Amino acid sequence: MARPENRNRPLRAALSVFTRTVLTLLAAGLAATLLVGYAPGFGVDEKVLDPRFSASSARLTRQSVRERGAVAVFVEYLQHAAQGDLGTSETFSAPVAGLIRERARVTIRNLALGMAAGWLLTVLLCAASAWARAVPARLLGSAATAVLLCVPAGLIAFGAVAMHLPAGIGIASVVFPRVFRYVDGMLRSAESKTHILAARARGLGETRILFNYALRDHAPQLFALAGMTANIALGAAVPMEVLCDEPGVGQLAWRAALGRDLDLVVAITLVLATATLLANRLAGLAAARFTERYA
Amino acid sequence: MKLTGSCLALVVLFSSFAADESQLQPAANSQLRAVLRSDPKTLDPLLVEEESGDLIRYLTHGFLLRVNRRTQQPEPDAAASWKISPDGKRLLFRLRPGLRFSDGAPVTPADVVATFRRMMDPATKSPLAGAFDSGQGNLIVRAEGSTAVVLELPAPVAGVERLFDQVPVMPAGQLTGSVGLGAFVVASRQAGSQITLARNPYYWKRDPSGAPLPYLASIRFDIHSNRDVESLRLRRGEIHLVSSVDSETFDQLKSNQQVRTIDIGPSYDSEMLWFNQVSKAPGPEYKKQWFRSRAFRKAISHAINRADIARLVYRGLAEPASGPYPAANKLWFNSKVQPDAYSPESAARLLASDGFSRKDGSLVDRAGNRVEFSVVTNSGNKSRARIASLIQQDLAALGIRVSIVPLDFPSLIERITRTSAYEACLLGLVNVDPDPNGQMNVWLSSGANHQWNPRQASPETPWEAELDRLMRAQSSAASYKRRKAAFDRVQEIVSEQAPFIYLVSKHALAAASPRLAGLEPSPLTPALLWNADRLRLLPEQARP
Amino acid sequence: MSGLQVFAFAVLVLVVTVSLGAALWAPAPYEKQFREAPNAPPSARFPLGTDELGRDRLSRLLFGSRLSLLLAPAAALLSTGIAVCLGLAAAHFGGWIERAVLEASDLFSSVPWLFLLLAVRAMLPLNVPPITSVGITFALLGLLGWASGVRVVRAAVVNAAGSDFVLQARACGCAPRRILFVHLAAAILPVLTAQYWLAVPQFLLAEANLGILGLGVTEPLPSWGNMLADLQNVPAILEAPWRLAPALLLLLVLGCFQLVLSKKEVQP
Repeated sequence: MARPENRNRPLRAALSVFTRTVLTLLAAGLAATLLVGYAPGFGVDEKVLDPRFSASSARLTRQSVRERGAVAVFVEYLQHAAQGDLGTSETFSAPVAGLIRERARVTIRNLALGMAAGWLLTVLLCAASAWARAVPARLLGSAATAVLLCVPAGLIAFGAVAMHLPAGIGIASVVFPRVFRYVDGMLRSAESKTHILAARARGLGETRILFNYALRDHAPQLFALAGMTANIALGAAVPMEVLCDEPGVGQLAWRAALGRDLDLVVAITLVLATATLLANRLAGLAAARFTERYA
Repeated sequence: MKLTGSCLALVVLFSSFAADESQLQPAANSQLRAVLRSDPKTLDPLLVEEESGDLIRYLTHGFLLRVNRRTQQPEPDAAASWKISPDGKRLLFRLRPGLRFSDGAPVTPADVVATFRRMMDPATKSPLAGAFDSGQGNLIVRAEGSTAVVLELPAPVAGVERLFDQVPVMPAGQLTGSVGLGAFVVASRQAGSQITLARNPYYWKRDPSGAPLPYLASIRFDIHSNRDVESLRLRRGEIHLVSSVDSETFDQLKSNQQVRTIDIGPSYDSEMLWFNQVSKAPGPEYKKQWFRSRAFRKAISHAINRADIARLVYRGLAEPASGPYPAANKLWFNSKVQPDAYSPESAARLLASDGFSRKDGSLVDRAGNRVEFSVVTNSGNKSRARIASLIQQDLAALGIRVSIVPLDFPSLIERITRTSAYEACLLGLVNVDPDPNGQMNVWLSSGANHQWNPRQASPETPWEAELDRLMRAQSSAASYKRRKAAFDRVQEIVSEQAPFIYLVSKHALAAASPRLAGLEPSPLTPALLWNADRLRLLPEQARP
Repeated sequence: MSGLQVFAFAVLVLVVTVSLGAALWAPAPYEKQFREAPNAPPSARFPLGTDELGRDRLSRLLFGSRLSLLLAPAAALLSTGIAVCLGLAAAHFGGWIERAVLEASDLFSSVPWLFLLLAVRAMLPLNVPPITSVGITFALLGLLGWASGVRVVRAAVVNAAGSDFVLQARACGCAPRRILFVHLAAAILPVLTAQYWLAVPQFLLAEANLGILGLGVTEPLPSWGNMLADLQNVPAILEAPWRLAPALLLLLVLGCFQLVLSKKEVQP
């Protein structure tokens, strides 16, 4: 009798994760609908200030969340979304799905570049300082971290524009110091642990100590950090793309927010929430493989 | 005198650009690169609303008549000639012979008729239709023979010729597409990133030597909303022109050898302050009393140092404004109306005459209420934030406490158009139409853009009733002289009553690569590209 | 504390003291316009020159620093406090509480809170003093900024919970509450301290970024954010490098923060 239960356990866990993910996504979508719908200025059109457009010719087709309620509007949105229609952007007068598809390429490229460069630099500097016990590598990493942590993302974006660099490099400049700081801190704390000292005393190689002991001990934090990195990169994508004037989803989100573009904001929220949740779930799954849960 | 000086400067400016054109030859297969500040929402020329779409329409379509941006007068385009009946209700256009659309199809009167019918169809919801809709009946359009088109208006519309400057002539079979009569055709488009226009091989115009126009092989527009990125790209030579730069960037570009800066003179845009006079607006009644008082508004106007705004905010590249149009609007500007002189003494006298007095350094009204109000403006506009700070200090000298509230645009619009929950507003007005008919909605008391007190059932003050009468008179008068007289009086009333306190008219500033020849900058849009068919890009070594 | 750390600490104390006493030291009120001297270069009268309206840049920098240095630590305290409470609860109770906290953290990371900032600012009464409006903005940042910290706190607690000393405490019959608030709390204190001091610069940077994007502290009130927004015009910096002063001060302050706290962060 016990065997079928064991067989069902992973299924139940997966189902639970799936249900929670869907519920969180729905909550995010509903929260976005509420925030946009009740934000001052929702449903007004800049054209009303233009004397050329009389009231009769101004096309005010926005749904009023305040009249119908956010839940009703969001449910209707989901019904349309289920049929593949993510709505039409008021700001861009174009289908939302097409807008996101067109701009996703730019953002994915920026995020991939930013996260890859940030982590790669961290790994290289940490490995260099561990392998060669190279003080300059650690100093270089710490100095770069110290400087970059002190510079607002907006200023980094100005620098990227002035130096003709892509927004992805700007994102890397935001990701790297945060990743390096945690990883470096963890490795420093690991150095004084008894089992690491013992391993070193037994003559184990630095690579083995780094990967089999130091990093393994902190695997849960590292995977949590990996999940966070995605969020940091996504968050940095907005100012970077806005200030570097790159037509990505970050810039789209900004313009949607300023234009109170309901369909577009809800769609972008759902996309970003899915990306965030996926990153966190994957980080959680990976962490679970390395550590026993706290009972 | 001032106007004459400006005209002379313009003539010198134009003649210097003309000299470039005659002396130098264009680069072969040249591509002009520029920036659009936003992605056009639509390329359907009858539905275009925003500036970027307007520019694409201007470059890719032909019109029966075009307003020459230099002379500000309508001149033939797709129509070789036109005639208006004495009663102003019937217009006859004779089409230019041999015209072809960009797909090679010949242009017939049926195309013009189909275009106008689609435009006037309520289902199209074309923003162009409103100007032809007098509310007294339908516009009738019909072909007359094989070369002419007749339009019959139910009532005369003053300055009707100008309206045709925006109505494109399109093929009857492709009324929503981008096939047109313009100098260029849309060659490719990447939404949100780029639009490329290519030379229209069937464009009808030729230069004086008989060579086909346009000179440019193509125009590539990159879409960037960030003005600093735009000017950086101009410095790097990645783009060839910027149609509108701010005064700070303009000053910096002046010292750059790779860039030619162009001060076009006072633009049609103005910055202004107004008080909320809506009787049902939320807020204390005593404040509404101040805002409805002419003496109070005029005192504020006299207390604001416009010269300082022009000098400090626009680095001298602006003029104190007196009314809705700057001197650059040669046809409609009333030179008798002068900006209110900066005079704290006059302001104090006006306030005293209205029962205001100073108490403990603060200004108080008759009932002892301290005079303080908030000024809403849109956030993210550096110039406007600086103007607000200057006004704040100017009014502090009178004992008035002003708080500045920057709001993002939708929130601001909601307050000034829907809820009326504000006290004073600082905003700019972009005048795209130099004709007063384009401002009917502003000056009629029933108008939605009569911002200080919009949508009145009937005029609440005698001077607003007078404004209504004058605006209606100018819109129905057949002669320019009578229209001008009526609109001159409108400008005088606006100056006397100060419902809008006009602050400054900033200069239209532009910058271009020295390689770009044939420029004839105009304060009217599109400032640098209105004669794009005659622009030339010179080879690198042939810079003037 | 190393000599460098002492020096950094001294610099921080100096900057904070000078900023807090801005009203005493500033050569002029921050909003005072010397209209006869716009864009003036540094001089004895205006040590950091003046801005476009002739306002003394040094005075604006001092008052702007005061605002940021007071409000950012307060916002960081608020967000770290929320992160600690939720992270401890998630790690200690596990089950649905843990899941709910983590889901809420995901939700907070993915919802566009920009609207809330815009909405709150737009809904404030128009005559509210600018400083109140700024305070509310920082409070909102603090309330919304806990999501990233909660995972770190939870992970640290989970990690510490598996340690020998917790096992020993449990074996000795320690109550769960005592284990949580005495043993685990002490064990994760370095992480919490690091989290807080990492949060302070984050809020300073958040204000700066909001200012650069035009959503931060608004004119005529000075802040690091709205002064840094001037740097968007790169050629202007080359003409007037003293415009970089706010950026350099921000760099100095945050650098000193990091130097002073670097020892604490690496403690296991």
